[in-house]
Amino acid sequence: MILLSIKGLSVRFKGLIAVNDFSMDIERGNFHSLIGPNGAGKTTVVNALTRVVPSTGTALFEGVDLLKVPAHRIINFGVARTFQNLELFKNLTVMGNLFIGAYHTINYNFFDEAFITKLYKSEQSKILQNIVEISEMLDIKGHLNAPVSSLPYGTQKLVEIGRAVISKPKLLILDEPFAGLNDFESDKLKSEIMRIKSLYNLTILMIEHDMKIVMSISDRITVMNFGEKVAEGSPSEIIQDRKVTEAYLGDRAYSRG
Amino acid sequence: MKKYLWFTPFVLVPLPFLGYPFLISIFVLIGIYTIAAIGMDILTTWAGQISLGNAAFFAIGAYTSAIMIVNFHIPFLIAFLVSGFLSMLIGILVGLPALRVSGFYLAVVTMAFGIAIQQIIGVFQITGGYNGIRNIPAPSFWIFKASNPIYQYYIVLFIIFLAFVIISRVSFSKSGLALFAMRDSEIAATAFGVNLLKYKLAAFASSAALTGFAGSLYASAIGFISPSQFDLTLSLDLLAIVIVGGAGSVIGVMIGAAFFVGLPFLLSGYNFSITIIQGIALILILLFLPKGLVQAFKIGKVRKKA
Repeated sequence: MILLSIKGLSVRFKGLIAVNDFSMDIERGNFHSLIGPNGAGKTTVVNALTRVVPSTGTALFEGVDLLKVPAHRIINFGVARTFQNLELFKNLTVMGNLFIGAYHTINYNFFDEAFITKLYKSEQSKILQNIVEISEMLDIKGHLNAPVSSLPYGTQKLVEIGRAVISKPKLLILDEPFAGLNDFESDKLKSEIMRIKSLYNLTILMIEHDMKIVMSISDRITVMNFGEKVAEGSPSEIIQDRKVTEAYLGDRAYSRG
Repeated sequence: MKKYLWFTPFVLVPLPFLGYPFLISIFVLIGIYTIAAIGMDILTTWAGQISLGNAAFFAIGAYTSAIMIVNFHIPFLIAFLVSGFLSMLIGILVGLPALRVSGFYLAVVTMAFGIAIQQIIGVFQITGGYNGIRNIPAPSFWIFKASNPIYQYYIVLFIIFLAFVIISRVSFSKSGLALFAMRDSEIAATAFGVNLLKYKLAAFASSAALTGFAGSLYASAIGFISPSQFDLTLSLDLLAIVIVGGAGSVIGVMIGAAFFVGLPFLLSGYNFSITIIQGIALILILLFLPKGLVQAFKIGKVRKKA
């Protein structure tokens, strides 16, 4: 069953066409990777889906066109994301960051906060419980009260994933989660992601450059180049695709064998 | 130190009955600046929006209150509430540009607003032009006589207390953390459902309301207002109070206001330029206590802990 169906997505920045007539279907429960050389428009596709950049086309997510939803309401439909160069709330603690992850699930308002109503107390304890749960799972519980900017890069990445997961998404979008990690951190993150995926029944869309990880983790792969879709298929199909090799190494490299 | 904080109300509440009206009037002034600086703190430290135009809200509060009391003989308390409300409405209007511009550009936009309001006030007849409004009566109510600023003292104390309670309750809740999140990363805050429009306008509204209340109290406490009192220096002073005292902490802002307002009175007996002392103190504080004077007392929550 298809969870997200993107049709004819285009993004233009003042004459520059960043994404051109891009279409892609993501099956529910799949681990779908989006790959391509630098500047191919992968992150722009994600930014268009989460309404960071304006775009044309449609992106049907369980019958709702995400491209018509205001940016701050995207999370309500169950689409959460991480960012390429970490967008953590750097002056907050890990707990504060995870709290904002759960922001849209909180039912109380300002007056409940000011008067500490019953609703406030019950919601607040529910969220704190969620935060502890997620942080235990990601093995960052010891850092809950640490300012997030004081943590190592790999741990910050985990916090960002935790912040996305605590929002209880259906579709989790990971933008280059493995970039900048060493082998040890990569292996750890890979197993964490697989665990989270099965635990929360997530569908994952991942942008990634590390081919070894992409090939080993993905159910399906979409390849982009120059803002357009070049190829799509299972990892074994993609690895044999001539156009993919051209996109990465250039067409002459291929003809030389 | 923090565990002795509960003690402060027991000192502050009975203070006026010791009978030093002059001392109380200084405390009132410190309190007024504290309220205005809390307004600045909410906008800058909490919401990350720089404003160099908060003096305008102070002026709007002061003039609204003064005109209502002097020209229309409206009781102080009503004039006071109307001042805060009107200031809040104008604050929302000023907040609208903040949705498009940020950082230095926002600083310039708000500065222009501050200067514009000051000039507009100078033009009109009802505001007394550049001569201002004189003989604004000190408020009196029931047993509180106008000769002793006890009435204002308790209003000031009540507002600071209210601000303190609300801020401490909100700081690890949905709205407080949403403001922090917006300050640190607008793009990530939006992705997790924070409506920037709502929170930016709320920050400007509450900042303007608090500053308007402070302005209203100021007009009655000083008894005379003119446009020159509400210039850019006042906006910068409010910003300096926040930074010197301790950004993100009500106690810190109080200390900052005491430093800025109280120190000149303390040194007024000596024949020495207060500006020089204040300037040197400011540099020393920023060098050795970058989180503000509150750091020296180790009390109150500094914003990094939130």
